[in-house]
Amino acid sequence: MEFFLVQLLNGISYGLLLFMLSSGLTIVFSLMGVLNFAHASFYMLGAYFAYQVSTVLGFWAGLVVAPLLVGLVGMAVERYGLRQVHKHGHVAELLFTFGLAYLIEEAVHLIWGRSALEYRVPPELDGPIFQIMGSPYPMYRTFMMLVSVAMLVSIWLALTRTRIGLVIQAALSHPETVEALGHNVPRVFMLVFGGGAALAGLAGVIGGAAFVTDPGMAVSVGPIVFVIVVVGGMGSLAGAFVASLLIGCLQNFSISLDWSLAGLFSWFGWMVGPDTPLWSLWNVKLSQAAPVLPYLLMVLMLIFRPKGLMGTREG
Amino acid sequence: MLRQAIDRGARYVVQGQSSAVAAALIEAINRHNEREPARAVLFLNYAATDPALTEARCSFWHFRFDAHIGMRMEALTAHLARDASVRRVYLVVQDYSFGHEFARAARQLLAERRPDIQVVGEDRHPMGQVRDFAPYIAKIRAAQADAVLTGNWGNDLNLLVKAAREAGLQARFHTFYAGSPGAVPAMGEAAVGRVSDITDWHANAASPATLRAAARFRDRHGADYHFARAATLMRMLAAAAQRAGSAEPLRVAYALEGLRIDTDSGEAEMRRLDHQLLLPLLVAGLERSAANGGPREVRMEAERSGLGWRTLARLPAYVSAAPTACRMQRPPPPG
Repeated sequence: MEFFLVQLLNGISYGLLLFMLSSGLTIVFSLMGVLNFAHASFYMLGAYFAYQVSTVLGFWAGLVVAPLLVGLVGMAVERYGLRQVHKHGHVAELLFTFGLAYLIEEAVHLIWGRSALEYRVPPELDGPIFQIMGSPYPMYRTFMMLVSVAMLVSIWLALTRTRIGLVIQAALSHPETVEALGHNVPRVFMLVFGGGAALAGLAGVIGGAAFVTDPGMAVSVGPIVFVIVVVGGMGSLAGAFVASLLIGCLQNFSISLDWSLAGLFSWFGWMVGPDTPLWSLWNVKLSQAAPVLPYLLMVLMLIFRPKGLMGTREG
Repeated sequence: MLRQAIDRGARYVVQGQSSAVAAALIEAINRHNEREPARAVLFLNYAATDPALTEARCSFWHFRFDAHIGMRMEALTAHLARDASVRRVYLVVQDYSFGHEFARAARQLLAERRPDIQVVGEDRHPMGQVRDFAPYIAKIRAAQADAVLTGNWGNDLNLLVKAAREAGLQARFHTFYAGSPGAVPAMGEAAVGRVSDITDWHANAASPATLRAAARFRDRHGADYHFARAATLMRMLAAAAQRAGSAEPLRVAYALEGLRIDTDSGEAEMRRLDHQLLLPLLVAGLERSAANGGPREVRMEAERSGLGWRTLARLPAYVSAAPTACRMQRPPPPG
């Protein structure tokens, strides 16, 4: 029971971090139709900026300043890069963001070097916060969950309850009308893209300190973010939220289970041993395959429900 | 590249990156030496640790100055065998050939040395992919392991150790790579009193002469001195050349065989049978440095991290001297 609860909390907190990561991507996609391959690079930039700020002003300043800086970078990218490429269509946009990801990674290599930085959890958040039947639960993970939930609520409020959210939503479906009403639609898109980048940056601030801040961090989360967006449904914020939690828990619980096909066979009374053909396949434990499961889920989702859990648009 | 070097007159190759590179070099050098015995080349390896290089693939022309994986595992299990408090062991390895070999060797040697120790779990995870090790730590805790053996290196090691600290796991981590450059600052405080490393040398087990060399090295390159065995290699090469009275690779190779040398950690000997250096190993634990409130003997810090290594046990060369199945072809000895 204790084990189950700890794994459940681990799964939820990891899932919420994944949500922070993917929310920006899904918002940008749903509002602008741009699939941003450089999204994970903004996550990385967030961690590096936060590290840089924290060496001078401390962790909390980094938490606020870094996402804003990443947002500015995102806006600049939209204004001077993406907007120029936009008229050449979606493929050009895709290639642009793809190249941008490499550029950002190389820039990080040049500025901060190739090894991991010493970006740490601040002492105030270090240590256990409560015990689950004897197992201490880390305060930082709880903090991570709070930030993520706060982010979800504020994005949702901003999009549905504020004027700017209204304009953004209108600009999505009827850009000409909105423009005719005197709103600057390109600027709205720039803000949206910058906002998406800032969300990724915030995830980077939190994730970089929790795990590791190194030039490989963008590549390592890039694929999983796309899995979440696809599983949740392209462009659906709620879908991304559900998919993040699902994948976080799926991974955590499958790591806990040392089941294998060989075990299943022996349950049916079939004896499978090292001499059986394809033994190495039957003997793979679920815990060993855990990191692949999200991708399997994505493939199955694309086959049986291409629009994702809560997606609205096809393809 | 090898071709180019040989054409320019190089007769010694010193290399220590990956075992795959080392294996390719051995092949190429074997072939070259067979064709042109008059211009034979000798390969001195200071770090590639696949046991096969001095077993199935062993060659007269290859000498290894580092302890291979099997030897390190012999040392690690011998150390664990002495510790009566260790009863339940958990294995965490990366899911590739080295990790599998690590786990297999650990199980086999533990069963031989301490049959009462139970291996309560084994996790293979993809290399360099896992960000969040919390679920693995929860599993280790649930298995009530009191020692974790891991072959992980790089981020896979740092994140594992950090997650263990977050979850307040008390088990000690026994590693092969916590001493590699960059690892200590990355693990940081999380590793204090929690991480042990099997190594041939560390700065707090160094002789005054090596410490002076290390200080000079730091002044010149601004980095810590890690590879004391590279110096051992050079000293042995010089001694062998002197003994042979020649710098001719064939003569030097024969002179290297059976050569003994004093290192900072104790006496080492180049085994004639497979050209593997039998060297004393240390079990080192990470502590706060003396300047940072740690034990007095931890004078030298690892990479200015405020932490340093402390010798927990010294294992003389015979402890890790694994038997070998090497049958090498030997060229006729020089007249």
